[in-house]
Order: sequence, then structure tokens, then C-alpha cells
Amino acid sequence: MNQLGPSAGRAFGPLLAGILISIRSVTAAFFGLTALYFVTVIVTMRLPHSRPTFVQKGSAIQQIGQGFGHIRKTPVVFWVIFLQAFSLIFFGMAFPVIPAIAVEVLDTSEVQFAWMWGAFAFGQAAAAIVLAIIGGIKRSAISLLAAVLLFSVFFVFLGLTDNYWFALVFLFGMGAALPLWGATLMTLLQHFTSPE
Amino acid sequence: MSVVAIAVQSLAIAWLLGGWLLDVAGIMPTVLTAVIGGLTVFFIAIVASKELRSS
Repeated sequence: MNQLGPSAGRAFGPLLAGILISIRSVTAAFFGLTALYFVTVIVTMRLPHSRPTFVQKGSAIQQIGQGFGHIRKTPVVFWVIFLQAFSLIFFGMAFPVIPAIAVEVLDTSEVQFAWMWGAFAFGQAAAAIVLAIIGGIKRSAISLLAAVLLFSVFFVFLGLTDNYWFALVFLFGMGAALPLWGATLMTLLQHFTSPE
Repeated sequence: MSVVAIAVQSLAIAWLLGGWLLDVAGIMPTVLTAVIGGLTVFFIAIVASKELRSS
């Protein structure tokens, strides 16, 4: 569910914006965004009151210090944080590359570009559903390896293609790698850290 | 979780670095830098951490 929510937003958000831009203008897309923010505010205000089950002691700086202390004492958490921070710097370059490919190579319309993000998000959602059905992959290392290989292979194919439909397939594959990566890292963090 | 939140901010660096590389090198060199860099970071972590390998 943690993967499905954002992927639904990434699928339908760009699609709706693309449709608004193609049938009206960029201004219409911003008005649509404002309307969505308004709905979000109303929904947030209607959320029931809840109290956190655990209240953290100390300032934010102290909590960060305690976090670093825990990482120093727990090597596996150190390497999970290392993977999250440094692999994201490299694999995250896909995000500026996708619009560049859409404009410079595929020459897409607004809606076609929106479908590119949609394919990425549908891949993410599909993999999240499959993982939920099969109960996840037991070996975290295998799951992480599968994620980086899947993402890398499809990303290279995306960089090589000049066919829009192939690009959608490759983006779907790249999106499918995200739940394997994100869910595994979060599971490892939860497993090796106490609730505080 | 505060430290995790800091680590995830590296995505902003990815946007900056990716955008700069697109400008100076082009699409395919940026793709290859991303893939080779990401795989290198992954294998460094896997080789260095026995716990991660066996998890």
C-alpha cells in the first residue's frame, strides 16, 4: 500500500495535467493543481484527531545525533542508509533524463509525455501488487540485486530507443524495480531499528 | 527516521547532477553514469556488509 499510493498519484497526476494542457493551456493545469490542493486541505481538516503512540524526547538535532549513534553501532543500518543516500544520487538521475528523452528524442505531445510517467507508475503499482500477492521476496539481498539489475537494464534500453511504445515498456520495467528496492530497504530498517 | 529523511534528500542532488550532465554530456552518457554509478554503490555495500549479503 505504501508503494501503491504514490504510484497512483504519479500515474494520474501527469495524465490529468497533460490532458488539461492539451485541451486548454498550462494555466488550466495550474488551476487544476490549485483545486486539488483545496480538496487536500479540506480532506486533511476532516481527519480525526490522533495522538502519537510514542513521543520522541529531545530536540530534532539531538534525535539526529542519536540516529547517527545508532547507525555507528549497527553496521547493517549504516549500509542501508549508505545505499539509500548514494544509490539514489545516481539512479535518481533517471528523473531529469525522462523529460529530456521525451522532448529531444521522442518529441512527445503533452498527453504522450504524461503516459510516460503513467507507464512508470503502473510498473510500480503492478510490482507492488505482485509482491503483496506472493508475500515479498525472503532474501533482501536478492530483492535489492533484482531491483538494481531490472532498473539498470531498462534504463539503458530507454536511453537507446527512439520508439515511443518501446519507451513505455522500458519505463514500466523501471517502475517495477522501485517496490523491490523501496520495500526491501524499509523492511531492513524496520527490522534493525527499535521503534524510537 | 530523521537520518533516513536526510539520506532521501540525495534525490535533489540527483536532479541537479542529472540536469548538469544532460547539458554538458547528453542523454546516453548521463544514462550510463547513472547506471554504472548506481551499480558501483550497490556492489560496494553488498561486498562490504556481510549482514546485508546474508539478509
